[in-house]
Amino acid sequence: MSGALDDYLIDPDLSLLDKTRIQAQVLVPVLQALRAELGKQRADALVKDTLRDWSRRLFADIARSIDGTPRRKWAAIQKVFGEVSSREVEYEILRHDERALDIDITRCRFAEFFRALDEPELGSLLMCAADFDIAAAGEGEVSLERAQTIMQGAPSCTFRYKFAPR
Amino acid sequence: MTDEIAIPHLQKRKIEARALIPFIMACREKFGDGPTGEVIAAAIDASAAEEGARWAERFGGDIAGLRTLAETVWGAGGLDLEVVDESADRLAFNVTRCRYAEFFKALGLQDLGRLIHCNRDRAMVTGFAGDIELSRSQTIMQGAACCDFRFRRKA
Repeated sequence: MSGALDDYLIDPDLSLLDKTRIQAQVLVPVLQALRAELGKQRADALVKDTLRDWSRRLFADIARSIDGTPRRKWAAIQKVFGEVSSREVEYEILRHDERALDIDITRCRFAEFFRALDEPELGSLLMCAADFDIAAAGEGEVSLERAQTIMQGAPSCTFRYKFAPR
Repeated sequence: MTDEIAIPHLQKRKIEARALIPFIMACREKFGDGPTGEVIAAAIDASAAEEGARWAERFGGDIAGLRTLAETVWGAGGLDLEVVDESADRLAFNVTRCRYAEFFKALGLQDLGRLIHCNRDRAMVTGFAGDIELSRSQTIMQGAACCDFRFRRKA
């Protein structure tokens, strides 16, 4: 696979949940210190901007490092992330064909971890938002809508991918 | 949030850095190097001191424990080090190769490496043992040929 993706995953033997826990362990104290200094609203806005930018750039770099059509780039990244995150979730595939992929996640250990920390917004930024950045690798050939997530408190995450006709 | 995940220390630091680097860069861009940088540095110091306390429980909070820590946790894949002097009251070693520095240098971010990696060591020692101090006149991260770690028990 690509160097940029390998760099991101760092250690393929380490679960994505553990990797995320390590990052949360270092980010949460920094976030708390920033909130104390800047106020919650300002600190959270800064964190949001920062982590969204980081994730967008990261997945754009990964997409660039993969050859092929946008659809192929998306499929390649999705395959790797699907594999590493599927260990941590329970899901149901409702539809999977040429035009659409509908998945409901019914249990998510990432959400359980961040909700237990009382930092679901950080979890949304670190984890959930990446799905849209990965979909962006599909450059219009793939689109994602997701009305709700477990991280935000819903009972399920409703992933609805649509694929443009080939 | 004190549970340890059993992976090499180098990997752990790299994973942390992937999240911290963009964060600190954005803060610098927005607020300059001033108070916000100090807030972040203080938060990192606090977590380094906690880590030092956990390591002291695991290895013993004395000079012998420090050597075990340096050789088994830091050294495992991350550092090449040569012990030049050791007694009950002091431990001196030189790091001759540092893959942490190589990681930050490859990204062109040695100054951040100093902030979020090297600077942790002093805070870590305060958590590890109240009566041991670290002096270090140079580091590979800053471009020196070796890092000269000199730990000694305070008089």
